[in-house]
Amino acid sequence: MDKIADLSSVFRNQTDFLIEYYQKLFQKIEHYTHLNFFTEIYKKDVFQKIQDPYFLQAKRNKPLFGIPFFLKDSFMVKNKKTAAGTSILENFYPNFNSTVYQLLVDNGAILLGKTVMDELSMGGTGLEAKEGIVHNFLDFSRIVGGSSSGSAVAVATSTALFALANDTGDSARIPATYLGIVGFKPTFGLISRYGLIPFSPSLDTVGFFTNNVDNLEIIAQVLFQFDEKDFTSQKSDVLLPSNDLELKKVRLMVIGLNSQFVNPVLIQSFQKKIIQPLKEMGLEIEIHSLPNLITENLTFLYQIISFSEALSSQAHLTGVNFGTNHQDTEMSFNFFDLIRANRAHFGSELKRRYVLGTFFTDEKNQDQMYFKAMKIRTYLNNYFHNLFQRCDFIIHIASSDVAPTIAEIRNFKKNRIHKPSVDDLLLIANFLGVPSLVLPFTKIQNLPVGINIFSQFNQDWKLISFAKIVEKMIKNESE
Amino acid sequence: MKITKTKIIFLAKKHFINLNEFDLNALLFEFNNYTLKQTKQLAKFNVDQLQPTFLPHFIKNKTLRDDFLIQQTDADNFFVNVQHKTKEGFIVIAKEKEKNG
Repeated sequence: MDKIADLSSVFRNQTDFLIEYYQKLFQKIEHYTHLNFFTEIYKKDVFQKIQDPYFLQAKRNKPLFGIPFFLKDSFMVKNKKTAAGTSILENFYPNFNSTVYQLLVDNGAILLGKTVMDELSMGGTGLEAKEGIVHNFLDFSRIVGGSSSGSAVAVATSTALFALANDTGDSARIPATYLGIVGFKPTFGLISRYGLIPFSPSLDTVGFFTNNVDNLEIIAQVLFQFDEKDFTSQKSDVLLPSNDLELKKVRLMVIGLNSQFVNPVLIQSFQKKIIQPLKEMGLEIEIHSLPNLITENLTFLYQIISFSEALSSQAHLTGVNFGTNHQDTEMSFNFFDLIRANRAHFGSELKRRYVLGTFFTDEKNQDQMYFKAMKIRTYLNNYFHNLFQRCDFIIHIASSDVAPTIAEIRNFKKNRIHKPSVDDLLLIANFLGVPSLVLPFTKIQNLPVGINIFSQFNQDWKLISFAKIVEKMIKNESE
Repeated sequence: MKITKTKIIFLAKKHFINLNEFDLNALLFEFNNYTLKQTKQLAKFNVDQLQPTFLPHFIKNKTLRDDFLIQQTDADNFFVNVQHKTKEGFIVIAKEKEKNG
């Protein structure tokens, strides 16, 4: 049973079934322990909850009644360890709940545990967590993608019906394409970020993984809420569900078809399984080539903006105010030496990003780099604003190929020469703050690849409605 | 321009980071074979007349909440003002200024 609405309905009619269901679920989780996808499991809490008469009575009619979920370890849960994949927070127990966690449990969902993530959401591979590599169960030699690696594995193995992630560049979407699940990043400000450990505040959004778009729709209904604790939270009608999409009037723009380094099999499959059927359904489709100047610089722009912002948003991670203090406090110490000693435990990727961020914001460089990147972000917004005059949705293949191997990633890290490809197009939604959704569409040698669809600011419900149609179409094509 | 190991160590120290030899060599390679070249690429964008985007909301120049007001004004002397409405009226709680050009 993979639909939230169906499972919740069964629980409502047979509350005894909850115990049987969760016993089997924990056996399944145990079976997948070797994938290293969770940091902690709250088995005792779960069984206490599902046998609590107050919970069974009070949450019975809530939309997520009894639905299991995982939370990425970057979200605060009161008195539960929240380490965000970094050793400097390994003993950090927050004294408050993140808004998203609170909304989910208020609506009857049950937290199974926290998931492994790349250190402080920086990595993009699933190889950078302090807990070690998150394994790809489809092929152990390949990466899962990140930074929300553990959450993606939880959903892909059906050990949870949904899992929360945060998406700064593509963290809730690239693992979705590599594991064949649905990944969603909403409009900036639609889901509260209160209680999320930040990476890059102007790009960060709360996203999530599900196995299908129906489930995504239910989670969105619960999480699209105004939150006065989050300054960037939106208070508007766009939070309310709507389904006013008229398919025949949809104008679709295809990008990335001329992108280099894309597996040609994928291009053929994309044309056959996506573009052709949508044309036959009567949609107006335009193929557009983005200028090289844009496509060749997206990753670098992302680096400048996100690495620079991370410097200030994570400057408080010194091991002094909270988190682990790695130095014996009995020793006489210089305050800055103490911070240096605590930060020595950061991983290589984190250190690399801090050094580059410092370079981009250095007094001598900031006009040519940081502020220039901010202006190019405005340029990109203007460019895509013009494109959206001609279309409602933009679609592209979400990754240039199936998940790369761990060896390929390690080799790339030696030279860091980036080859621009369709994967970079996922970053656009973060620069613009617009909603973006990845759906699985094909497989190459049993390894999945997804498509990404994004739309205009605050058009999340239209995007979800359109994704439902595309998902159904892909399923029909596959049968 | 080339980046040296000394410069990288200097940058790292600003944020209390110590680099081992492996990380240092990897960064040296990245700076001189990728980062600096990409920086030159950015110069091709003709964006000097544009205002920078600090948050996606600012693009829309909209009010986030009834009690907050965000302004993006004065093209020559660009400001982002965040004002909070109190009983006494709006008070500025954050203000960012970007140098012209």
